[in-house]
Amino acid sequence: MRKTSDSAWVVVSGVAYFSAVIFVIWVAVHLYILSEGKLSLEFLFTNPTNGMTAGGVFAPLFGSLYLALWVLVISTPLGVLAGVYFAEFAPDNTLTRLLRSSIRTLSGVPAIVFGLFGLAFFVRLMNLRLSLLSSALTLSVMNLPVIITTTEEALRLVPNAQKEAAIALGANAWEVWRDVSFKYASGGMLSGLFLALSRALGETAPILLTGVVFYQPTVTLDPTKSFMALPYHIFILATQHSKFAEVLPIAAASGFILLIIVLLIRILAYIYSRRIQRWL
Amino acid sequence: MRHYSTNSRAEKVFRFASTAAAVLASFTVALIIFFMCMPAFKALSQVPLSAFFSTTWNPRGYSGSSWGILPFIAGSLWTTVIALVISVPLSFLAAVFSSQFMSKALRSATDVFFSLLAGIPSVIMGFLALTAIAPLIAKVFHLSSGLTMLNGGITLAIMVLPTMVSVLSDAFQNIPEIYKEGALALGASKWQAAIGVLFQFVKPAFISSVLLSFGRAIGETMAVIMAVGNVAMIPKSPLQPGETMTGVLAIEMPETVAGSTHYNVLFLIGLILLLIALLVNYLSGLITSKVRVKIQ
Amino acid sequence: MALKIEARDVSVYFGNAQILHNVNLGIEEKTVTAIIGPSGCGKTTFLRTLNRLNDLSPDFRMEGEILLGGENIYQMDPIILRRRVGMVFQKPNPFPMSIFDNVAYGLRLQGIKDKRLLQEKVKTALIAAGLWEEVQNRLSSNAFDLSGGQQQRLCIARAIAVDPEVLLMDEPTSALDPAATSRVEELILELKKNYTIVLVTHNMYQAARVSDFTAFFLSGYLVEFNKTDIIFTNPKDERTQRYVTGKFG
Repeated sequence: MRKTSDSAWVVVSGVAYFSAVIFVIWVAVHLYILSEGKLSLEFLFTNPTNGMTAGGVFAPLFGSLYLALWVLVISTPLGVLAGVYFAEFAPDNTLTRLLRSSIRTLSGVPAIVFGLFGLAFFVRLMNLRLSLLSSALTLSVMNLPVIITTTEEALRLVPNAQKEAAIALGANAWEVWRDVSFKYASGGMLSGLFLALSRALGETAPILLTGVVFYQPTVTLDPTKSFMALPYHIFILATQHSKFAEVLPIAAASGFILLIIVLLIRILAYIYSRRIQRWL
Repeated sequence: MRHYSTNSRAEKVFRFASTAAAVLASFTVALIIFFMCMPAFKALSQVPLSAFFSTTWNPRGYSGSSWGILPFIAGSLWTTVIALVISVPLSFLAAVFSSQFMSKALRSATDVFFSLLAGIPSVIMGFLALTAIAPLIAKVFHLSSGLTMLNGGITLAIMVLPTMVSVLSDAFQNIPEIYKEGALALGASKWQAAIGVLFQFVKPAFISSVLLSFGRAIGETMAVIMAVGNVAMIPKSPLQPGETMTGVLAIEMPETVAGSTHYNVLFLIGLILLLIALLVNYLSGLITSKVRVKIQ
Repeated sequence: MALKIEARDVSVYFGNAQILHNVNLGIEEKTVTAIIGPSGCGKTTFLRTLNRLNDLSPDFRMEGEILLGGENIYQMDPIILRRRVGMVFQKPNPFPMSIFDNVAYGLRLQGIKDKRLLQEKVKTALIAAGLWEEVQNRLSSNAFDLSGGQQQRLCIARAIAVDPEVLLMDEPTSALDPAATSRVEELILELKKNYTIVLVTHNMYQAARVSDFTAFFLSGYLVEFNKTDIIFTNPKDERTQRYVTGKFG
């Protein structure tokens, strides 16, 4: 009798586990179905028209990608260097612990609070106004903990023997990093950058208050202007458009594109985090 | 490792740059708290404290503004608690299954899906809540609209599930084999072993992950907005709509005049939200470090 | 003969623990000095003070002084010190680069860029390390493709490529098979013509075979230091006697 109740538990827990696996697939399928065939190459490259009830998704897609580029450019050097500090130079004292816990605390701040901060600090105080730059800076701050932590962890995994070999030959800290540590840690670091990238593309709350708009007549490379972004586009179409039934397929198609892009990047992040690099 | 070499300029620049970056990054959290506090404190001086404890929120009322923030606190708590009630048992089950009953090979193949689940953008989950879950709730419970606290709770549960499962699964896997075998030797089935004996080992990880998920759930914005209907009143049941703290911030802030009382009160709500999230994260970290000390 | 390395009253602390107590030792130029003793006696710690590798540990503290060719090593740039004092580690640790790049690494660090010069020096080092013939046709292949013994000889080549005065070897053969071990030991006998070698080893036979002088450490104290044959046939200290005979059995 124990055996049957036991196997019942196994089944139940197995279902719990695999339902998560199935869910991811189901989301993609659901979006695909709802998009009712709107998905096409044309969809990717034409702009929304006719009050957003027709056309494609080029402007928001471009905006998101351009935003993500800026976020990477700003947050990568800052995050990687900070990670290097914690892994290689930080002494073992209270100040370091304080710095570390500040970073950890930062990772617990809700996204919308980052948006509020971005509004108060970048948009208003630094007078960057509602712009791609404000949003990029806000998202960069939000991504710092991820990049710092993955960088630090990747560096800690560098074999000491390798570092000592370089030092024994007369390498200084910079040379050790450039010639030894970086090679071993680059996979892990890339993984962190991919995660940051996926968030820069998918997050709405921080950009909501700092620069994204629903409609921008021209696509521009000027970061001091506001911009369109895919997640925000989906949000407005789904919640505030007067002709919901008409735009639903477009919203679903846009959602599908966003989902696939984000998931692909996450898969890359996962692969890189697992790669043990011996010969590079 | 630290170096004491002196003359190289590249090394000096490298050291300086990395130190500066670390200090700057660590400083941002203080900046955030400061910039949340400023308007929030202004709000406290502009509006009497008792006004916040009302259940009416009407910032642009014709005959004066009402600043009751209780509906949002209620909304946040409803959705978060429902989310935990659903996700805690589910993730426990999934974690046990993953660590006890799966082979390493299969697990590494399917684990990536949890990372993907965690990566689904908030707005997509919200879209799902709107187009798939809400209609289902409406059907099952015979409601005119499925945009309810329950909808929000279910959506949040899905979002916090992956982190909980991975934390718990790791904790289960970290239990030394001896204890697992010992439990089995006592005649317990694998399942009973898991629940009875091994749970003691994962209790800190368990509590810690619940706290973390609470923080994550209460801080979620887009998914919840699209799921709960956004009506500023206290829901009396999970089948009623409501509005969360994150929701009111995202919906009303874009339309608010900077520096106005409305603006300041919203920042006050944001500060409360921030403090809750930070507190919960702090407690979670405290529990994990306590365990580390114990092991040492 | 001139003393290449002098340790004067050297005591080493890691935090509150004292690892070395008042070590006084003089190493003569172009000799092989073996450092022997039971595990934990401080021999590796002593070796690592000679090229200031211990500086990397956060709670390291040293009293006394160490002279290289008469100069205090703490009054010179550690980078320069480490070019003059090379090190070979217990487990071979070649870089994840080609064989050529491994040997050339130290040279490039010093700023040598001329291709022909690099090729010359790499070849010389590989010949001196007894590895040239085995790898001359595959200098661009991955260092990790080599066998353990070859990797260690590669590390030796890498260390001597920068023309150090001293070569520190920390149990260089303990991770190698007997054939590879004897090759490295032959190499050491060759190398001592040009370099001063300090060799930490737990292998008594190796110390007896290869070294001119032997230092016996016990619990952080230098118990006895003398010519190798004296240490092994007629040690002055009873503890040395016990250690040496215990191993020979």
